Amino acid sequence: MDMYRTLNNGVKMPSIGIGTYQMDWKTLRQVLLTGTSYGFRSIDTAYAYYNESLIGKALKLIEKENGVKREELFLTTKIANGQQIKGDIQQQIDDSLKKLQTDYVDLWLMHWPYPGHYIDTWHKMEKVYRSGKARAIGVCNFRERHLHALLESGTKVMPMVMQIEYHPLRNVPSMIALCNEHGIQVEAYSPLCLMNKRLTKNENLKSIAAKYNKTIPQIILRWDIQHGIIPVFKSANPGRLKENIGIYDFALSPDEMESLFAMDEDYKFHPESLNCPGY
Amino acid sequence: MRRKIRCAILSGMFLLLIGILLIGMYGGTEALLVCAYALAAVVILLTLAAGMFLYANRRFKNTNRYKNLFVGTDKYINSTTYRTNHTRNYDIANVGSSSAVFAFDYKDSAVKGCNWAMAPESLAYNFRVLKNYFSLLKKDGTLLITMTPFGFCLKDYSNDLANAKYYRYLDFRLILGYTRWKRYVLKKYPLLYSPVYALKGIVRDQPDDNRLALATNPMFSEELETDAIRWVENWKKQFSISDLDAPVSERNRENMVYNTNLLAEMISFSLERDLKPVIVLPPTTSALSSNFSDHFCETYIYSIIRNANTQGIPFLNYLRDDRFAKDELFFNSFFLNAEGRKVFTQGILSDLKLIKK
Repeated sequence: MDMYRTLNNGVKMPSIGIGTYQMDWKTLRQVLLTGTSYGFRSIDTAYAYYNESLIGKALKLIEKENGVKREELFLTTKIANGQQIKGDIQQQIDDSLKKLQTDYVDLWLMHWPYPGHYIDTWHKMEKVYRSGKARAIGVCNFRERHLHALLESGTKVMPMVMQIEYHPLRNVPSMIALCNEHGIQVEAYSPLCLMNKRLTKNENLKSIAAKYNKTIPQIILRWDIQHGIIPVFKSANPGRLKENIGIYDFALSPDEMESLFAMDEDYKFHPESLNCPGY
Repeated sequence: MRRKIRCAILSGMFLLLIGILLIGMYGGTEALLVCAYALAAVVILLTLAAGMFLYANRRFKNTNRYKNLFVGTDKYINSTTYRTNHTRNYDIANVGSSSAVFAFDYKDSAVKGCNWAMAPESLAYNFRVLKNYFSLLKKDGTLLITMTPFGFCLKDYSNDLANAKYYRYLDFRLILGYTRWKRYVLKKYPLLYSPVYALKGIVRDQPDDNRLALATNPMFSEELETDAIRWVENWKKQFSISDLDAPVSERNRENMVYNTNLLAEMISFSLERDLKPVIVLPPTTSALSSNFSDHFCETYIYSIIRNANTQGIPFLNYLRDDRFAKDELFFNSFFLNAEGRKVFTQGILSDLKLIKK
């Protein structure tokens, strides 16, 4: 299994990433230093996480202590709703780059399709993409109707990535099919659904995990990468980081893959409209 | 915010102290003594004022007048409670004003339901609540848009106090006149949000709002008649209507057009998000509904619903439905009591075929 996926503009993106939401410096430092030492190369942050400056600091530390240079890492950040409302998108990327202490991000995502703004934001993001400050651009939390509206608005650059809440309890098949149709790489946040008891107590997952001598999170992450989804997980536990990279040495059978798809109940961990009113 | 207030107070006191010292330095010993007394007096007065303010603020926070501002706000799920509460994909929810608050109770029904109505609330805020919470509903979930007889005449409440409750459960971008300062004072120093309202509460408190707990109707039929007339007279006063069957005033007409467009927008919004919107007019006692002529209903309610509902969603009209008009199902002439709520909720769920009869 390839450790990278190729986006529709040819940019290579690591097939698994580390999320950094709500991490203080101590945790972030430990997670990123340990993670990169285990081989993780993708780091996911956002303006709304209020930790871009800490990530910038961590990037320097990673190079100094682990010898992993900026260009070896794949850095994702996101534009927040408030930034969309302000509308000065060019200024917003510059602010993020300054905090991140870098000249470019590998992926710049629109965090939410904020009503009344997201189409305009996208067209401005296209300009940022052409300027080279973002090697790839994409969107998050879109539904089909948002993507259709975006495409109908005369999109010049097709989103390269769509980041959505995705796990066995929510695998939004129609959205995935639409992304595949347009060559958009799907990235999964909350891929383990915070180890909801529906997952941890599931007998099928337990038996698959026992069969491969793996853990349930490893089975789920493997399921992700095996059908081309890039999971972005969050863990402050170094042991889990090591566990989560250990998913490239086995493969699930088609029946096992199907059994995870069959767990879908549209179970959302993040209610969209609470984060983005009028979503 | 707290740090800013502290900084402002400390800076003010520091400047005062410097000023007094300067006067003392250039004015000699006597002037210095006068300044020291003045400073002591200012400090004592400020301390007394601050103490009185904090005392009054604490008193107000313990009044029913303060607590009643937020009655029912704890029923809304936020991001945190949503994560710990594992219920997902609600089958049905309703928005609406006071009558809807008392009309729906899904607790003992076979469906997963949320009552998002708030008392009192304009249609515009119904829509804002919907925008904030609709994701909790499942795909093809049912949304009840609840109407009231005079609801279409109301645009938004002009008193900012009506916005206070939303600071507890709406996204800040949806709250009219939102400021971070108001959010802060509402939480910490509500006395400052509306001092007149607060002082009235301290001087003469109001009863605890326990209307949701009422299970019977304490009113006899004559009292219900009087109560119904009181409601109608209050509405007539609120919306400057002298005769319910007279032509609609210019102001009310404008608000009705505004609400027609809003209702049409709510319907489109819901349909676009794979919800099944249903317009509902809840029941009232016959004592109240008998005050509304067919002409009034057509002018103030039905014609507006018809104009807004170009997409043909269901309209369930229970205004004069005998099944739910019995006096014992209400606690006054207008609002259903706990028992009435259960009966009506079962009735509407059955009419919607969400449960079997």
